[in-house]
Amino acid sequence: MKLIRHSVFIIGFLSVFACAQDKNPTNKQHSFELIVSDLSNPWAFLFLPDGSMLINEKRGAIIHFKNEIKTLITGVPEVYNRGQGGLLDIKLHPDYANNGWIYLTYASSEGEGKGGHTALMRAKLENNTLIEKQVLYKATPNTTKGQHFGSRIVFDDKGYLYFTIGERGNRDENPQDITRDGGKVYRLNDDGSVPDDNPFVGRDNAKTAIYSYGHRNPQGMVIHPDTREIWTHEHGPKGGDEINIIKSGKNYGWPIITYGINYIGTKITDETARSGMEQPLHYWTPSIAPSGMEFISSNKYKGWKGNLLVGSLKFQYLDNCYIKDGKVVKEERLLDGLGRVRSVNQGPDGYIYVGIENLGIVKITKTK
Amino acid sequence: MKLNLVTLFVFLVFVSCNSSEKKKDISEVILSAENNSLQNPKLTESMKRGKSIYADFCMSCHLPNGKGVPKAFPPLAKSDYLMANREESIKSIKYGQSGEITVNGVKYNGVMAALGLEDEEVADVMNYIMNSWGNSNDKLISVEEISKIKE
Repeated sequence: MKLIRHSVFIIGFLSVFACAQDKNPTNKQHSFELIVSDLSNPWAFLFLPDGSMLINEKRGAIIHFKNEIKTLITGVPEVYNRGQGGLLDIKLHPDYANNGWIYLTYASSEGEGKGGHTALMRAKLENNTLIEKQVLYKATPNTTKGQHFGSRIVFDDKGYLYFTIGERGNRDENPQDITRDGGKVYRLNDDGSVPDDNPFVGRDNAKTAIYSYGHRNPQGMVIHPDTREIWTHEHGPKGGDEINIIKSGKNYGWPIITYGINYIGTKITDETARSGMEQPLHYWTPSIAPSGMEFISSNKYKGWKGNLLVGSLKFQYLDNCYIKDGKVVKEERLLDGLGRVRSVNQGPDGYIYVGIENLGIVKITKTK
Repeated sequence: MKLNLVTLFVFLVFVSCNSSEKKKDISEVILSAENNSLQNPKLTESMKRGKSIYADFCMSCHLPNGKGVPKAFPPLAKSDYLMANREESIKSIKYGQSGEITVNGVKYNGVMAALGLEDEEVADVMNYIMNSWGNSNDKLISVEEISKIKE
């Protein structure tokens, strides 16, 4: 009888959580240290050559963190801080030591029409001020929709710059149309010009900066440390968050194919696959709401080299993905319940640093 | 016995996810909206706009049925806090909210960032959430009321 009562309790408990949670086990064999405290939404951060950090706060502030002191950078572009929009990614040029270029993406209301859309800027930092600011790309048209600005930036080995823009809450018009911005991965030269061999150069009315399309809202992008391929993840609707490897000119299917459904539970499509459209390398149902992405290439953590880290906003953990033969074979929760994980980077010291909303930046110190 | 338990388990898991509850919620929305809109077409229009603001800015945390997420995001549906703290609720939407609040007897200590909505949009979404999912508010919230509320 006792056993039965016990079982009923467990069943009741499980049924409450059946919809809300995923099944990834928690890894308790690690600990962390708070490195930067009192941040509200550390959307992105990076390390400068001197080991200090630049931290993007979504509301539109860039913080220089050096020797435990925070200094606000001035001259930051005005951001359209609405819904999911604000100051987004920040990256150094691969040759930063010589040219000093810093790249930013942010939601901007520049240009015609009410609302905003994602912009890419480069600038240099001098005496804690951004100077020589150049807007390299500004997506159009502006819209007052609050969703899906993207955005992440990476450079590949040839010096091309890639950045993402989400479909701005207009899934029926933007992601499948290469003449419109939004729902795309873009590729530019480091000065903002369009490379001649971009896939849609020469197509009528095409936005020639587009490199791939059919995306929903990619907020993670990173170069694989060995294969040098571009890996992204993107938010699905309800279910169907994806990891993809980005290839020139390819269509990643949103919203024609998806493993997700509408927030209200109704179907978007019956199709999860179609010829001419790419399948994700991995997908999450239920959605974890992924933001931030990094491979572990250092030897600092026993057994984790080559693992892919993905932040979960929704379930508030860092997803430690074990990859084998190009597939995610195992996932576990790191920093479980610490807060909404927004950004993740491997530092120059080989340790993993994680930006957490309403907390700050923590360093994963060891595996036990 | 074992088989029974497994069946019960599968059934409960299924029930906890199924859509009959959603249908009920939608009918509640329609009912409460109808009650008020008979008296006030202005409210109907405001709620209509508010519904799309809700879908854009609020739904991913507070969910389509306004029930929120236990421990993380407080419910708006049948929320004693929302109905009793009109000014504080407007302030939360306009300027963001942090610090402990108690909603329907449960304590929440999360953070909601300011959403960047215009006063008219705040009024519309307030009218929507205060007249949906079983909530009912007979005093229309105007843009003027929103604009007077400061941080």
